[in-house]
Amino acid sequence: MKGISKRFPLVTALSDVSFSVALGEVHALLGENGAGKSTLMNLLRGLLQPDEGQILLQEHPVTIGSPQQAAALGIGMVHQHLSLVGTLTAAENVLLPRLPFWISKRRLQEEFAQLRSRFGMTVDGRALVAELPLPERQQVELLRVLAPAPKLLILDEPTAVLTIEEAARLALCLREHVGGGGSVIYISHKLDEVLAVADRVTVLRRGRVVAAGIPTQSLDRAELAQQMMGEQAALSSQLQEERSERTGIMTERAEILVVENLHVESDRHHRVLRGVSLRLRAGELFGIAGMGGSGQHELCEALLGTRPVHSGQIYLGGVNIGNFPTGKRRQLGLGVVPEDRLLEGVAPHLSVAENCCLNPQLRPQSWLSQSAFVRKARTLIAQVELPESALSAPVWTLSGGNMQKVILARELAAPSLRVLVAAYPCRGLDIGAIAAVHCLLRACCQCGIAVILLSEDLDELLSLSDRIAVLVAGQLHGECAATDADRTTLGLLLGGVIP
Amino acid sequence: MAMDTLSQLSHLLAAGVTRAAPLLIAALGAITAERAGVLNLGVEGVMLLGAMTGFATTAATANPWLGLGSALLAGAALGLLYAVVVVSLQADQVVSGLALGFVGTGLSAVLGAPLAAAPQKIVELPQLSIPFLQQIPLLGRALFATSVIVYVAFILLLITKLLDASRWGLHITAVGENPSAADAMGVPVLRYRYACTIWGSGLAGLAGGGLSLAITPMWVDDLTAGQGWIAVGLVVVARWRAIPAAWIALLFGVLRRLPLELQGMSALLGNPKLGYLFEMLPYLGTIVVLVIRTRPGVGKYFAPPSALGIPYVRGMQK
Repeated sequence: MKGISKRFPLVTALSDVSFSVALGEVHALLGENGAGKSTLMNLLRGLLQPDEGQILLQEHPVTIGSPQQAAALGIGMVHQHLSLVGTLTAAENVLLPRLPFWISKRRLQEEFAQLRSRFGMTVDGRALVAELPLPERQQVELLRVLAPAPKLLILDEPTAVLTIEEAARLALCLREHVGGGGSVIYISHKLDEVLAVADRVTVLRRGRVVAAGIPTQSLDRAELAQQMMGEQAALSSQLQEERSERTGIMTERAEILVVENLHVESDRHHRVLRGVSLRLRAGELFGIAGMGGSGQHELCEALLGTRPVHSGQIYLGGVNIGNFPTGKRRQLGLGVVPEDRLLEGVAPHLSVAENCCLNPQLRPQSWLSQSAFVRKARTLIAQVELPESALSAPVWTLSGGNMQKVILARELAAPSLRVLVAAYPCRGLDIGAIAAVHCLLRACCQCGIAVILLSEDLDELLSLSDRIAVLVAGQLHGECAATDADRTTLGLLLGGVIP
Repeated sequence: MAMDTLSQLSHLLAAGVTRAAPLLIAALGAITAERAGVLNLGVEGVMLLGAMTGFATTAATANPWLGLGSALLAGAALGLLYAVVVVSLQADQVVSGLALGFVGTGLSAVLGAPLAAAPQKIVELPQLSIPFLQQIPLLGRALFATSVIVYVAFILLLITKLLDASRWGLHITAVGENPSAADAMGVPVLRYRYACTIWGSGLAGLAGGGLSLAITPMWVDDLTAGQGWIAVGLVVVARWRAIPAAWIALLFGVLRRLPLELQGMSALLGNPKLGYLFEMLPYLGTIVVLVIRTRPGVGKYFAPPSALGIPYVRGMQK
């Protein structure tokens, strides 16, 4: 791939990215979430078209218009979200694209068994995919992609669901594939794994290549982690000063939120939080880093009360709120900026004024009317620097940044607010809006409100937080004051290397 | 006396089988379309248009075979229209399906107005008797000396069943369960959805033709009297499978006839309107299934195709 750029309406996902894979090699593509890895691969799969640049396959320029075309060119992909048909058997899934017209169950199983033994897999071909455990489903997916012997195999976060043995089996299987002259692109953010499997590594950061095709022998983990996270942006001296002042004051403040040994299960009854503990003082900003899917979502829900707590305690201002319904928690001073603005944060077809008044603590005392809403909301939106003309506009017409401001205005206006949980508040926003959101969060802290900020952006966390920790594998690791934070350590933690 | 009961039973069964045939044909069409992920709530309207077209063509040409063919084509044409709206343009399938039903009902009423005004006799679809086999006690008359439409239903049942053992059938299942996975495996999702929608709607038209050419050979407005809706409900109870659909269709065919057979025997069971009450049984069954479906464990046994009613847009994650 040469000089590839791809722009979306809001962001430039890739700018001038060049990337090459040789025959018979495993090439790893590393990067944080949102670095552009998936976009790059979607270009190769034919789901997206590049705005600029060329894709060359064995030195011939190609246009990949659809997944079928990608498959015809010999590009196979194992998705992070497995794409299998649950109601068909493993064998049917694997052989689906290459079936004879009349299907004989016996022949199907024989063919499947042959493939299975060639790649050293163990999965039962007669089992329905929906009834298989995740690692075995991944075997099916892998076999499906390997069956037509693709020239280029793309694996997107393949070990996210695998046990150590399974991961080792996968590595062997990949060796078998490249041994036969195939090539592999291996997308991951797990450093150890990449070093174990790949021949060369390319690192993406914010849509740019920051390290191209470095052989893995000449690399060490710390270096790799640093490249993934980027150089430390110099904090403005004013901010530094302000912060050291704050650290002094902070130790005298009362603890407002205490979470002790919290265990929470996911929708699929996996234990996703295993003993999370944290203490938050009034006016403190606690940053939680970590790749999405390590329990962030469930942590927010458990704090808000929309997901049952398996075990552990949550104290808000000394009161155990672990069993309280959401409304009561809010009355006691909990506010939340949810992860998915449009889905969980606003009622998109209601006006800005109405959305501001959705917070029960802000409901007008009179009969509900548009003018009562507007009266209430006017002061709120002035605080977040939204123009008054926006009041009667339906929220869905606003930009992401302004929508976020409406949510923040609503949450901050609750008189009882003491703890604000902000989940990825800047995701998908432009620079101006990000600055505004940061400014509001800081203002919160100055009013003595404690903030939990979840983010995938390490720079953001380091510049805003008083303390920082990484949520990885359901636990908080590496908690420290943000001023003492060491990017390499954090980078290793983000990469799943738990000391 | 025993002889008498047997012949009565045999008669009931034969009548029930004939009644069940159009129901089964429409249900088989709906099964194939829904297996591919396209819900069609307009079956009733499509059946009406098929019934009207079939009757009109036969009245004009005196050839019931041409009538049956034109019923199929009329249904398929509506199916094509529906596929453009819900597959290509990705419109909501519940609303569009209801709209399609109204289009079919309206068209059949408007175009069929002259026929309804001047009732006439047409050449019906022929009866077909197979020597020897028709003399089998009890079943002989029902299965081997009956209207052609019953044989058509059997052939379609066989085709739908065989589809399961073919590449096409597996591809249809994949398209209806997980279209993005099917797409990634190189299965042309939209082409399958078009084909299944048109096929399903064509069978609904054919079922309507069967009604107006064999079961109740005439044309009046609303000739189908809700049988299209019964077919839609039947699909859920049959768990999107052909053979159970056939048994259930037979059950309802017999139940529909039962009150007529029992007339004069007892006041309650002989009430000729009882058939209408029995007709709501598929929906009672559907509601039972919908409730069971929410239970863990047994629920997945009754689960619909995962992508039923959801338009497929390439590259969109759920």
